[in-house]
Amino acid sequence: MNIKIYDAQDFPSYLPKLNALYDDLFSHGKGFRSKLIQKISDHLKLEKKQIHLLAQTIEFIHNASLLHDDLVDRSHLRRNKTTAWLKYTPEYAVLAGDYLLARVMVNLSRYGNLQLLQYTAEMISDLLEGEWIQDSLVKDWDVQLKQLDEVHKLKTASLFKWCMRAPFFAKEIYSDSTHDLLDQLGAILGLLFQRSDDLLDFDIRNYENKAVLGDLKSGYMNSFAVFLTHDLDAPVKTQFRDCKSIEDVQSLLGKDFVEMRLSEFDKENQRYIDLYHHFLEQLKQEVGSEYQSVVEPLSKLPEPLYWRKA
Amino acid sequence: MKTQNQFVTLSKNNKDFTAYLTGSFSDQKRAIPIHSFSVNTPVEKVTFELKKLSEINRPSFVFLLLCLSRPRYWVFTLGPLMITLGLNYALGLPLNFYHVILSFISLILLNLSAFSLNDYFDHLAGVDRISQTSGSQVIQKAWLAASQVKNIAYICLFLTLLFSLPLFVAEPLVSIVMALFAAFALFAFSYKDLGLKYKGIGEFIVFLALGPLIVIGLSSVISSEVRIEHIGVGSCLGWIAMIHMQIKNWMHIMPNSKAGIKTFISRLGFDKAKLYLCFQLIILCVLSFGIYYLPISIEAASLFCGSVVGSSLFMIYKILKIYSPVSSQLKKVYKYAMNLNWFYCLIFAGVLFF
Repeated sequence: MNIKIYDAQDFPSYLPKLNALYDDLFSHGKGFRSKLIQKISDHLKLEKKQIHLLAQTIEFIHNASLLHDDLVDRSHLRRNKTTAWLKYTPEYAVLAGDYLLARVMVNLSRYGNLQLLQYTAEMISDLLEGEWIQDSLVKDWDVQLKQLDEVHKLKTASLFKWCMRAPFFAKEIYSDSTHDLLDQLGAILGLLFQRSDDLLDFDIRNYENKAVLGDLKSGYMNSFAVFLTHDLDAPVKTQFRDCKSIEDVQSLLGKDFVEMRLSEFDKENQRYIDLYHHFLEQLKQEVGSEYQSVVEPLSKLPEPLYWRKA
Repeated sequence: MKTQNQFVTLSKNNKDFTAYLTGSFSDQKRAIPIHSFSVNTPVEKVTFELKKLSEINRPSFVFLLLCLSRPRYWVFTLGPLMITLGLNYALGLPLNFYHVILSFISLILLNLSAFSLNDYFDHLAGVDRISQTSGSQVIQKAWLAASQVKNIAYICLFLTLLFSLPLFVAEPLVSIVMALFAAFALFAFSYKDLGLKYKGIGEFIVFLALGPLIVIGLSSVISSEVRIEHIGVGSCLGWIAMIHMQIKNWMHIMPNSKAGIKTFISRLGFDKAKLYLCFQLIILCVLSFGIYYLPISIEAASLFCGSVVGSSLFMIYKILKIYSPVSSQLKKVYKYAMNLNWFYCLIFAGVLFF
């Protein structure tokens, strides 16, 4: 099912530049999260309207966070296009993000599932908390992986958790044990997604040819940067911060060292993939025969998500 | 699907659950609990990661005992011993070195016993699943099974009683009062339903137990005498221990708040707690001037006060530069506070002796 997340008719045409901004924003996204919603919702046999609502909700929240993120980071490019705050104004970028979140609240409250509404509000709260704390870590060169994971749990993982749980809320399946498991599955997917994204920044498995070292140049140590340098001497860490290219990184640390650390990083994340599959087996026992078919598509997610190939 | 890592999820009602939790389920493997579902409910389940003993790099037994005793906290027991010895020497009181040695051994064993028990009960209660870096990490790293840690705890407790028996006999009243208070403090901290730890009373208990009471108790058994100076010096030590506890709570303000744990620091909030800690350090500087009332030279007293004021101001500067509850500087400030405790104790004992 091809879902059209954004429709100009959903937003007032009398607000200048709003629809142009949203046209730019929604036109090039991969829509991974809405596709995840669809996969799960199909197996739970949700109605088309419900699926559309959930898919639109998650994409609105995700893109609202991107609008704000780009302004906070002062990024110039998003999906190879000029960022909204730069193309329009910072004020419009903030307000456009706020408007998407308000729209989510309107749509969900009209839908009427209070549990879903409450959970979505909590998720947005976590997302904002994660953004706030992440901003406080800029130029913190000694940050540890454990601390970054706390931020990612709030930011990236909370969206994935929502993708896992929201369809079950929509189906009015409220069992705590089921949602506990879905929460953990979403958390692991979020962690793997973030860590593989952080590897892209070091041109590792960068099949999409994204710009590299963007995080480091912005003063932010991502998870792989922290893993790479956590036990190096202070002078080496200082030189690492000043690297402008992958060649600089490899010449400073040595190609073999980077390969060795990458292998250790992959081994640690493979552990999370194995844990994901274990939790999925538990979910299979939890959901009963009626919805067991939901497990099969979920089992195919973590490897391509992390290794970045099918 | 075949996986490289092994996991098993068991319900608390499962007959094998306790064996997995305490480590007695296998001679070849260790089960590390990594996540709890439906915590503290009748349907609680725990996911264990299974590791082969042959694949675990276990350090030597002596190193394990050292980890279990958490040597970074020795400053709160051996520090007062060092200072009481120095103070009593400066006051010209008689020193019973046999009792000093027994006190030293008893305190080390008590550290080992108390912290091992803490690790064991936290593990059973699932605290180490919520906060996976808590405790000595000996159980979490699968170096020892929980049942082994429990055995070490009880053996050390027995040895503590054995070595401290002569001290009880020498000063029965003081020793009994101290022991009862220590037992109460341990109970109040460990029995989570009481939650005294989280009601602000924790700081007061720490101040008393690791301050005036421990100095009074040690002076009684070392010199059979207690003076007003012991209360003054003990109060300084108690104040330092209290600051340490509050810095630790500040370091954990975010996970504590998220887990619904209300400490005094988390109630203040991140920004106000910063100012509160700075205020506490200023009070410490003021208290340190009390050393001028002790029978030591003005130069020695000035050396001590200068050290306290200088290092406290530096710490205030470090605290004020922290702007995030997940900042890497938080751990550094905590380590600095630990080192500062040792520094104060060594300088204080040094000026008293020399």
